[in-house]
Amino acid sequence: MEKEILFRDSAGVETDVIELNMGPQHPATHGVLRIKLWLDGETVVKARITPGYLHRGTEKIAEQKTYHQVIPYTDRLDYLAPLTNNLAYVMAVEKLLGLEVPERAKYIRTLLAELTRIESHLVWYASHGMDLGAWTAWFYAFREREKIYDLLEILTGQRMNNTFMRIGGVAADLNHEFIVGLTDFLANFRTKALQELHTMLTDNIIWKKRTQGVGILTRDDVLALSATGPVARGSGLDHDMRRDEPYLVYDRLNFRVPVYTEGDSYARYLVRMEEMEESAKMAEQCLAQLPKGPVIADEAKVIPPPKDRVYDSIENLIHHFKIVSEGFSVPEGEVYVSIEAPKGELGFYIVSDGSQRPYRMHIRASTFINLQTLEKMAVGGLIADVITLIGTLDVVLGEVDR
Amino acid sequence: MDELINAIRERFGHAVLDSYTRLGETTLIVKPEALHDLMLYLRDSGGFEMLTDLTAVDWLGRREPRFEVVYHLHSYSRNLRLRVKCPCEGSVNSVVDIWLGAGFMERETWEMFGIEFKGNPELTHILLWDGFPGWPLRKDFNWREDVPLPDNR
Repeated sequence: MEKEILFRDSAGVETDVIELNMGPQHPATHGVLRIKLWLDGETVVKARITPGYLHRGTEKIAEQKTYHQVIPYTDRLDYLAPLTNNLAYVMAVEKLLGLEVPERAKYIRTLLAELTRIESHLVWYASHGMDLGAWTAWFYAFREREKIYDLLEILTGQRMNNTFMRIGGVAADLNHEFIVGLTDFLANFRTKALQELHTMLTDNIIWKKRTQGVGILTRDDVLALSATGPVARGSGLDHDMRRDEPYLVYDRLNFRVPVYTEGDSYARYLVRMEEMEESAKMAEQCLAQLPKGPVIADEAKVIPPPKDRVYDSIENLIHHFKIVSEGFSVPEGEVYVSIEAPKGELGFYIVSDGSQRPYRMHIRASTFINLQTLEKMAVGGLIADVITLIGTLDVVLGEVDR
Repeated sequence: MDELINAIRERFGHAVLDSYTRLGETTLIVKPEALHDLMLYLRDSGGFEMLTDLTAVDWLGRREPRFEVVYHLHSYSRNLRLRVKCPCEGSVNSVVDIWLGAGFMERETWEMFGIEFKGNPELTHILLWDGFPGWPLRKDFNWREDVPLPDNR
């Protein structure tokens, strides 16, 4: 390859720019992210991102599936927050159908979305810490994450890839064991576990030196580069869709949106740490306000009847068979529905031609678009700080590559 | 929002093919010639600071022209969203000089649909490997047979 730039280092010696491949099998790239770096000594001159090693063609697959069949595919996008992916998708389909969701289902969805946010942020905390040498932090965060997974297993039957949201509501009602376990978990998490996490890193001098002033993004950068979520709020963009464009029951909950203006990795760290506390508060409020009623809409053309009623009524059997085998028709039209996912704005753009399958489904993946900021942040920094940047962006390659 | 749509219609005249609000989402349909100017106007005078999303739809055999490039804009200052659609035959002007963030999205749309974004300096593969044959999200892409396996890399 021809030499692109010739550099003169600080001692006046002419040096070549070194090209270095980081990934796709690098342990700190959170999966299979490949970054091509051009280095002058230890300083990054240019960075180019090559994602796609986990591309599965979810958007093309969705065109061959009925609307119900697409739900499990959405779990496998951001696999650290499967329930929020389910949620964004089913909300988009419900909007096309004009389907109203029962109140209790809305509360359960909000509760699960916030629980998922804590779960996702815990993995971010653990892996970001471990990347920068704080091994102990990993164990404390994963201990809490395991508790959430145990709870989700009680409720949904699976630890990951829950596929719990349904078009029109949720798959099942909350059970007693889950509610008791969740109440205990949230009380302990807010009063004890979160304090432990803060103790390990927030005032840790090594942590501060590795993150403060590293990877600075201004508010203008964030707007130009379409970054959303904690990345944007760490750079002073005061916008949270839960507060500013409320969906589900967020307008009935009390919460604060943490915003920092420094724009460095430490600011983004603080945003996510405070978001975990707010999410725990929101989950508690959801449990307290939980109304009684059904958890799935009563719409026989879209939602299959309960399984036990399928065996003793011919109408129910026919409905069940039709919905499972050929799906249901969705009126012609297009919607873009987005929600505040743990990692940023997650949007589904669905075009329907009136048939049982989406004519086109596009996923606005938050981490894919947030990743563009890395090419800007890395320039001028040290190669060791690229590891910080991958951690601070909280990338999940399942969502980046789709 | 209505004021903005009226101002755009007045300013861009026949380049605005249609505008409507359905399911609470406002959509503008523009001709490809006016796209770049309109986007610049929307960012600087309309307050749409961010390009949230960019994608395309292939209407093979159903509509003329065949493709529709779809932009989702977001105004934080006014808390508004707007969808801009641009029907085209496979080539539109790039908006990467207006929003730097369009880079990844235009590359993805190019490799999935084969739509050329004139003015984007780096239309290269992003999710697929270099030299991938065909445009996978086009409706005439035969996904049962057309997908070759990558060589060892």
